[in-house]
Parts: sequence; C-alpha cells; structure tokens
Amino acid sequence: MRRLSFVLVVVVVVSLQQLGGLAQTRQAPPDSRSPVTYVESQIKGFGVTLVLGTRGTGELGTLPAGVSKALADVKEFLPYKTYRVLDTLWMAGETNNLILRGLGDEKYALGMRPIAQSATRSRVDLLRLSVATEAKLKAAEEARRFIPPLIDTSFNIQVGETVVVGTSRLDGDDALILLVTAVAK
Amino acid sequence: MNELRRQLKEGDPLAQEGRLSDADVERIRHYILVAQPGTETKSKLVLLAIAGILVLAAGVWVRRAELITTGVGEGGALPIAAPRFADTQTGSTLREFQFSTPGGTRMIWTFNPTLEVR
Repeated sequence: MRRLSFVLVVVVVVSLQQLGGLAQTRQAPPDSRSPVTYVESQIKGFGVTLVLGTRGTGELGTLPAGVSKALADVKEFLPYKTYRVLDTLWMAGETNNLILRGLGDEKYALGMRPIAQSATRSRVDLLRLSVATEAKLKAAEEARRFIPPLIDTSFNIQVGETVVVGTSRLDGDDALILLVTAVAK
Repeated sequence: MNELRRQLKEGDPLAQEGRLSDADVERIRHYILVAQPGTETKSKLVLLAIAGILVLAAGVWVRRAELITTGVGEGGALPIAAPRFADTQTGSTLREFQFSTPGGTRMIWTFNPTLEVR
C-alpha cells in the first residue's frame, strides 16, 4: 500500500509539472507594450556597429571597447580574417529605416524595436536589416522582384551586453555583422 | 509403524467425506482469487504507469512543437531554427542559428543564399 501511495504521488507530481510546462509554453507572448517605464530601465540606449567580415586581408577599423571584446569572442568561430567597421549609430529607442553605409555605394536600412522587460533587460522584439541601395531597389522594382531582409530576428539583451548578429552565404567570402550593445545609463 | 499409519487413516474424518464437487472447488478458488492481495494493486500500478508515460510523452511533444514553431529559444539556446523567412520567387530561405561563446557573447547568425555585400 505504501508502494502504491509512493507511485501515486510521483505520477501526480510529474503530471502537474508537465501540465505546468504546457501552460507556460501555451502562454501568449509578452505584450508588446513594455512593463517597465523608460525611467526605470537602466539601459540608456543601443550602440549598433556594422562590420564587414572578409576572408581576405584588409584594414581593421577602430572598434569600441565592448564591441572589440565581443568580436574577439566570436572570431574563432568564424572563417573571416579581417573585420572592418563600415558604420556605427546610436539609438535611444525604437527606430525604423535608419541608414547604415556599406561598401562603396551600398546602403542598408536598420529597423529595431527594443522593449524594456526589467530594469536591466530588454527584449529586442525586432531587428531587421534590409538592402537600401537605390540601384538595387530600383532594379528589383522594375523586375517586380521582392528583396527579402538580410537579417530578421529577435533576442533578449542585458544592460552592458553586446549581441553579435551576422549574416553570410553558407560558403561566402564576406559577412555583414551587426554588433548591438545595450549601453548603461 | 504400520499399525499407527492404519489407525491414523481410519481416524481421518476427511477420508470419510470423499472429494469436493467441481462446483465447490470452483467457488472456493474464486473466493481465494478475489481475496488475494496484490492482484488489483498490480493492475492499478500498470494503469498509472501508462497514464504517466502518456502525460510525459504529450508534454515533450508539445514543447518540441512549440520550439520549432517559434524558432528561437529563451536565451538563444536553440542550435538551428526553422526558416524565418521564405522568398517564394527565388525559393530561398533564411536559416538562423544562435549560440553562446565560452566568453559569454551570444551570436545570432543567418545564412542568406542571396546575400551580396559588394
């Protein structure tokens, strides 16, 4: 009888845990409105650096301290030899279609929607990098061809953290890398 | 010795009664089986174990489905996500994966077959 009671307790506990897990995964995504006011958040804004990674040799631009540490962390996982800073910008909040300069005439539009989740954490609900070079957009329009975004993702970020967001072809020689840093007040 | 055995047999009341009828045997057997502890308990245990396994399997299946649907795990632990974007004209898809380096830097990488940097 004691054995039966033990088995019953185990089954009930495991079932409750599973049901709890189900309820958690079934929860609706957090409301797009921030539960934390701008004043409460310790994040002052976001620094975004666009870097070109190449397999060939070249010059390395000047990198901010936090960014260079993050880049040093990920270098050994990437096949590129040279990292060149193309552009940097500062964002205090949500932005759409901020232009980043690429190689030559290349331009990229950046959209980013950060939402404070706590005093020290933000949810970047949307980070999208799209082609904004006039010639490419015009050619695509004439050909009635849609250019998909180069990067379209979302992530959480802590105050002071740098998240590396990159894109490349599977066997390409170049990569576009965005380094997003949540800067503390 | 033989005398003692003979006396015991003669004095045995059961030997005088003869065999039980088949109906009596079956009735007694039934009572014994019903009264035996553990038979019902074992059945309950098997049923409970099956129910527990089913609940566990359902939970695991739903969580896997949820991760595949969202494509991104909390904290970016999912190694390879489902395509986030599909270009119906070129047939290309963006594949994204996330991981953390030993130094703690999180990296999100998208493979884009149509990327042109230059």
